[in-house]
Amino acid sequence: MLEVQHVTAGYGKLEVLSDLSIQFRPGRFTAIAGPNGCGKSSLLKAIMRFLPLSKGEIMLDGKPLEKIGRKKLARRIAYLPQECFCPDYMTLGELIELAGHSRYELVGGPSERDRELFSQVLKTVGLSDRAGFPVNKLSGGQRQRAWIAMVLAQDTEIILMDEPVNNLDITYQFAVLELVRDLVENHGKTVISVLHDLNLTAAFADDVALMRGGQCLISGTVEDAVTPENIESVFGLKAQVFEKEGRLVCFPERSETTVFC
Amino acid sequence: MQRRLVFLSAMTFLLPVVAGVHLFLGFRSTDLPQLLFAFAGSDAQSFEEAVLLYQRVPRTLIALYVGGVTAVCGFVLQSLVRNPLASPTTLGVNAGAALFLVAGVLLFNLDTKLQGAAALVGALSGFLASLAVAKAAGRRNDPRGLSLILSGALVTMFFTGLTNALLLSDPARRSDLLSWIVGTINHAYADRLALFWWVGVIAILMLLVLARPLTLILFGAEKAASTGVNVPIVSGLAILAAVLGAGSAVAICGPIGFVGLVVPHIVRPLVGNNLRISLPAAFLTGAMVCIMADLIGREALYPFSLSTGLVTDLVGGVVFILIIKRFYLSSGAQQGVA
Amino acid sequence: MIRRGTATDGLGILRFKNGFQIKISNLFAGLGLAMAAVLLAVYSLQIGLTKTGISDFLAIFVGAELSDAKVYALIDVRLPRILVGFMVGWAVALSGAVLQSLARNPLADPGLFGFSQGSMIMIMLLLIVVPLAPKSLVALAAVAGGLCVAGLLLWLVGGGRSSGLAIVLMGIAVETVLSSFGTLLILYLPPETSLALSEWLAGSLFQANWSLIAAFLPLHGHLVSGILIAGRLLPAYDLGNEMAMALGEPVARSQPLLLLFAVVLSAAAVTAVGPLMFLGILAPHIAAFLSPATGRARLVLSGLTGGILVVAADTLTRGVAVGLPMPLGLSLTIIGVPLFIIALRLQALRKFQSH
Repeated sequence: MLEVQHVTAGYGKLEVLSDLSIQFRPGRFTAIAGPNGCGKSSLLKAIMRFLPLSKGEIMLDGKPLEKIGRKKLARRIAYLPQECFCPDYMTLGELIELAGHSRYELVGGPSERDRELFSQVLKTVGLSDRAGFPVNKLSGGQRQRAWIAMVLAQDTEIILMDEPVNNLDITYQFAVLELVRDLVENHGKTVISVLHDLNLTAAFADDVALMRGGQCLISGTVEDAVTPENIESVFGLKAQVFEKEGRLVCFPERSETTVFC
Repeated sequence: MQRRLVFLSAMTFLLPVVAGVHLFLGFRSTDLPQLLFAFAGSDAQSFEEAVLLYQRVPRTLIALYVGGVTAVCGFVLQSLVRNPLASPTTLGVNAGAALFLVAGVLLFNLDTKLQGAAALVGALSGFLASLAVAKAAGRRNDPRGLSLILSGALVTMFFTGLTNALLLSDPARRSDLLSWIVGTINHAYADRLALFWWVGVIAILMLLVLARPLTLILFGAEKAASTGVNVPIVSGLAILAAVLGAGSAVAICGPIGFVGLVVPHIVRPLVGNNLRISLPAAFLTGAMVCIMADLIGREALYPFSLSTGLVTDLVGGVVFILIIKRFYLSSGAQQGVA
Repeated sequence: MIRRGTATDGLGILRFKNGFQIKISNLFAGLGLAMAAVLLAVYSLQIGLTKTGISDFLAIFVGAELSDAKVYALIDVRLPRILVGFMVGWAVALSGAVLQSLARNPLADPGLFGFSQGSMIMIMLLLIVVPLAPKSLVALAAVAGGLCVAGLLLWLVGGGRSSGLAIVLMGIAVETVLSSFGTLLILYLPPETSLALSEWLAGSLFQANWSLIAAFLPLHGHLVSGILIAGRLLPAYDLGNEMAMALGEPVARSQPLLLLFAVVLSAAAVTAVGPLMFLGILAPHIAAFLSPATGRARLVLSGLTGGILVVAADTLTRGVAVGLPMPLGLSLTIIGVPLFIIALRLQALRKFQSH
């Protein structure tokens, strides 16, 4: 269980998380949503300890994250940033092998078990035949799946994703999120992901955390949290929420006076 | 408006003062009145007068010419290329002129007159080479012209490398050119000034004539075209004049680096972008900076004298760093891209 | 002991018992480069005023009597020159490859970033204060100078998201200032010191001799362990600092060590022959063009390519400009700039394709 307790953090003087508390339940897909600049990505960075906390603590199974070394942390939590860079000379296979970085000995490479995992992962994302390709030569959708494959290959129980479906067309958005759903349901992973689209959130996530101004205003299951009142209080937008074929659909209303704030 | 005129008149006043210091510093004060009369006569009556007439005066004139012309050319280049780092030094102009001149001397035994022509051709080819490399190697996602400056730096390194190789191949004549190649303001180059001064004068006159349409172009090419300015011809002529002018300065006393980069950055915030005022301001400031650099080089480590080129390289390099920091690496600049 | 298998990307791979593994394609590329290096060395032995070559060289080992001139040319001049050239090229290329991963900038180069000039200036300052400083002190000064410039550059560029070209330009700017400061020092040093230094400053192999090689060798011992460690860490850095941390790399601890490794390599090369520009960029690019590789293989292949480039440049200058004392740094710049532009062009094209 990953618990964020009264965390305050920021870049220099700019405070991006203020007294934020939230619990992420294991074995579930939690989506983090909220307006731009509300601190969604910063929350993930704080969990990864890229962002030093000025107050509060983040606990993993009752143990403060700061007490866990980088290497051990990498075996528990994997992270997919919003933008990924890969040098031109690296092939997909080599990228996947890098996922085991924290498990290899100084001289050694991937073990038998690792190698099986890697080919399994490539099969899962449907890129087995692309393993020898340079990552930068893959198409946009393939590249995003490649990075997801790498995160999977890290073989952790918790996976953090920062807008994994950004810049993908709708087919790939669904394909990637189906994949994430499958990981949670069939492989027992805990996925925490920033998602912009409330409809995608409602369609795929179990839990949702709605953030605004560096705080988590509402968290709970999709059914409880995605309501017109909550959407208005977080996004400042009037919306209707319907249920269609067992799943929630948000329908923002157009207003005469759109206010940018 | 007020500030521009104050700056311009301050410069007009300061330049003769600095030039005077440059001319007369080091003489005994009792000799000064007599030395002033030396200008009236045609021949030197004493050792002091000879020093003044045949060393100090040419030196001051060279510094005046080189600093002024280079600064004006740098200003025009920066404005037209729309890049705060553009200058004769950073766009391969100086290195090209130096290479062609050295090659002309060592390979073809050119006389002084033809050396000047070679330097002008070299200045132009250095500039064109930088443009060509930038075009070949540039990235599409380069809105602020960094690849042009990188290309200029590469061309400069390449040309300087070739120049050094040529110089090494002829050790005997190397020593003749050695002080020229680091950029030295020296009375020995007075005859070169006498030969090439008209190039810079024509270049500056041409730029002054073009100042009004050029200013319009700076405010927007489309807008300028709509008021009847022939944009390609005007900017082409202006760049040609700027490059040739800078080349002529190199032909006289070797590459004096970075004056063309630094001075426009001093002038622009004070005077603005209206070329009819900022070009004269750049000329005066450039001349003054160069005279002061020469003064520092001459007096700082007396009895040694430093090459002016080295002084300007050192100071200019630091300013170069600051410009990159301010325009490309500050947090404000970051947001500009994102 | 050794088993053949396939890597995740489907290429053949050799696995050693202790877990070490190497791609077969990279192994062949490495052997090919090593062969090329040997052939080049053989050719390079022939070049020069004294007519002699590999056959005479082999004859020495059989015990044949050779004229003093030939022995001198082979053993005291050409062979050390080739060896030092190779070692220097190897070191600078490795340094460049490490820097490129650390800065995540394919244009990083110890010469272009001013590290070599920094080392150079520090050596000159040392020699002004202590004219007869021992070699070890000189090497230390070189490392200190490189580190100073690295620190300066880090401070100037500021943490993080600057554009790659801007960093390169900043490096060039720092390099320009340092080199004009160096010229200044040269001009006002006592003539005898300044003459030796100016040759050094341009990067020259003239002073290559066996004692220099002996001084260089222990360093290469450390290099092997450095490659083993750095080669494993660098691919994680290639993905960016945050990704490296997410993968379990203690960046705060290993990054300074890697930077030190790169600076030591470049400083070692500077101590031997003076600053060399572009080599640190060219060698990894050419190596990646010959055989794309990551990690240790990339380092080793880059190093071999760097060594070959230096020996080739030296051979070329000796062959073309007979009797002309052309410093190595100069010929590398003249050869390097066009190649660098080609590399930039290829990179631009690749960017064009991938988007």
